[in-house]
Amino acid sequence: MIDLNELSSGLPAITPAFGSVLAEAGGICFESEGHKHGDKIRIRGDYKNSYKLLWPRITSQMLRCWNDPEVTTEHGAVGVAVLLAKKEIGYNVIERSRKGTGFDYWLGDDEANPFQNKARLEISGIRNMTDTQINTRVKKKLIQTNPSDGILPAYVIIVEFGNPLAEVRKK
Amino acid sequence: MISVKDYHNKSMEYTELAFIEKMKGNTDNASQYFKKALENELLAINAIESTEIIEPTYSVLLRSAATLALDCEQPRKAEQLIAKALANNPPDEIANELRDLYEQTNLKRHLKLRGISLEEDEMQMNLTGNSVGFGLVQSDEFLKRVDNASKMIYRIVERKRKKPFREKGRINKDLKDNYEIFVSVPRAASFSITLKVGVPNEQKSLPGFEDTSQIVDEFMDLISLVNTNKINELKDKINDNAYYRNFISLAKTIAPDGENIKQVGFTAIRNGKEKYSEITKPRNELPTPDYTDDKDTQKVKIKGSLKFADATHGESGVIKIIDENNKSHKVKVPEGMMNDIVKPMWDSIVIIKGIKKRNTIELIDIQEVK
Repeated sequence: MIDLNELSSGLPAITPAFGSVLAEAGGICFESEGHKHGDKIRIRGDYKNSYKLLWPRITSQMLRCWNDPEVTTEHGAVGVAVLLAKKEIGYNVIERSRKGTGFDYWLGDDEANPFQNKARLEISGIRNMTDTQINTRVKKKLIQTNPSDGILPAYVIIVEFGNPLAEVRKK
Repeated sequence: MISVKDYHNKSMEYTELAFIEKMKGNTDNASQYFKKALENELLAINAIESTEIIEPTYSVLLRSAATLALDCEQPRKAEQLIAKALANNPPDEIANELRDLYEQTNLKRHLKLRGISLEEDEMQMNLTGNSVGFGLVQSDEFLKRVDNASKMIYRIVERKRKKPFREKGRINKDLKDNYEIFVSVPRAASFSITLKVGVPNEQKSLPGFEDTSQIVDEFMDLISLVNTNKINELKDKINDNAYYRNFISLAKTIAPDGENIKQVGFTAIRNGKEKYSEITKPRNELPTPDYTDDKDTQKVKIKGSLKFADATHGESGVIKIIDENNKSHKVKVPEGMMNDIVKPMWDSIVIIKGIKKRNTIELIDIQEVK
C-alpha cells in the first residue's frame, strides 16, 4: 500500500511538516482525477507492481490553498515518488537540495558529506495523459539526464494521476 | 563543530518552511525563511571550503545556494555562486544545470531599469530570448506583443469603467483619449521599451476616470497571477467571464514560446522601488479558460484554415475551420474571444481546441500556426 499519510511522520530528508504538505497535494491530485481511497496505482517500467492508495482527507480549505494545478501536481508527484522509491528501489530519500521550482532529491545511505555516493531521484508529475504521451515524457526525461551517464546514477519516476500509474526507470 | 551536513540540513528545513509559508500566501514570512536558508547554505559552503572540496557535494551546494539567492532577490549573489561552481570541476549534469540557472539569473537582470526613470503611469516592457539581440528584436515578435499588451490594458480600462464586454467595434473615443497608450523608442537592455498609459501632459484625470497608475498596477498584478496559474485569484479580480477569458487568451498571445522569446517582463516604479511582473511560462503552460477535466466531455483538436468569422450571432460568434481534408467544422466562439483573439487570425492556418457538442464545437483555445 502507498499511504501518503506516512509522509506526515517525515523521512530523513523531508520534515513532518513538509511531508504533510506533499501528502495533501497528492490527495488533491488523486481526488481531482476521480479516484477513491483503495484505488490502485500501477507501477511499470523497470519495476512492475501495483499498490492500493490512501491519502489524507481533503478539505475545502486545502483546495483553496492549492489553487495552482501545476504546483500541486509537482508536489503530489514528489509525495508518491519518495514512498515508491523506498518500496520499489529500496532506498530512502536521504538528501535534498534547492533546484528549479522545488527540490532535487537524492537516494542512498547516510554518509558524512551530503551527495556522496548517492543516486538522484528525478521526479515528474502529470495529471492526465495517454500512454503515448507518458512514453514521450519518459524518453524526454531520460534524454535530459544523459550527460550524467556513469557519473551520477539516477532513477526517474513519472507519476500520472489519471490512470493512475507510475513509471520507474533506472538510468 | 557544526558539519557541512548540519548547515545544509538546516538550510533545507528553512527552505521547506519558506515553501509552506509561500503557499499560504505569507510572502514576508517566506522571504525571511529563504534568507535564513541562504545563510545556512553559505555556511555549509564555507565549511566544505575550509576542509576538502569534493564533488558533486561542492557544486550541488553552490547550485542550491544560487537558487536560494534568486529566491531572496539577490541575482548578483546567484551569479557569483554559479561562477564559483563552474570554475571548479562539477559533473557534466550539474554544470548544465548551473548554466540553466545562470540564464534565469540573467532574465531577472534584464528587468532592471538601469538608470531609466519611469513615471507612475509608465512601465517598461522587456523581451529576452533567441530572437532578441542587444537592442534588436525580430519585428513580429515585438509588434504583436506590444499590440496585444495594449489591448489588455484597454480591456482593463473598460472593465474598470464597468462597460459590458465589447464584442465588436473599437474602444469608445473618450476612453481611448484618456488612456491612450504611447510607446517609447526602444533601448538596449536585451530589448526594452516604455509603455505609457494616458495623455502625456499635465492634465489631471477627469472625474470618474481611473488613475492611470492603477491601470498599470492592475495589469502587472494580473500578469503575475496568470504566470503563477492563480486561477481563483484571477477570477476574483476580473469577475466577468468575457473579460476573464479575454485576458487569459491575450496573455497567451504575449507569452514566450520558450525559444525565440524566453521572457516577457514588465517593470514599474512604486514607492521608489522597482516592481516586477513577468511571463516566463510558454502559452501551453498558462491556464486555459473553460477547460474542464470532466472525462465525459469530448475534447477535439483541429488544424485548418480559419475561413469564416461571424460576430453577428448575438453574444457569441461562429467560425468555420476547413481542415486538410477540406472538411468544414463549425466552431462556436465564447464571449470575450472574437474581437481580440479570433479576428486577427482570419484566413490563417490555426489549431483550435474545443469541446464537441452535437454538430458544434465550443472553442476553448486557438493558436495561429506559423
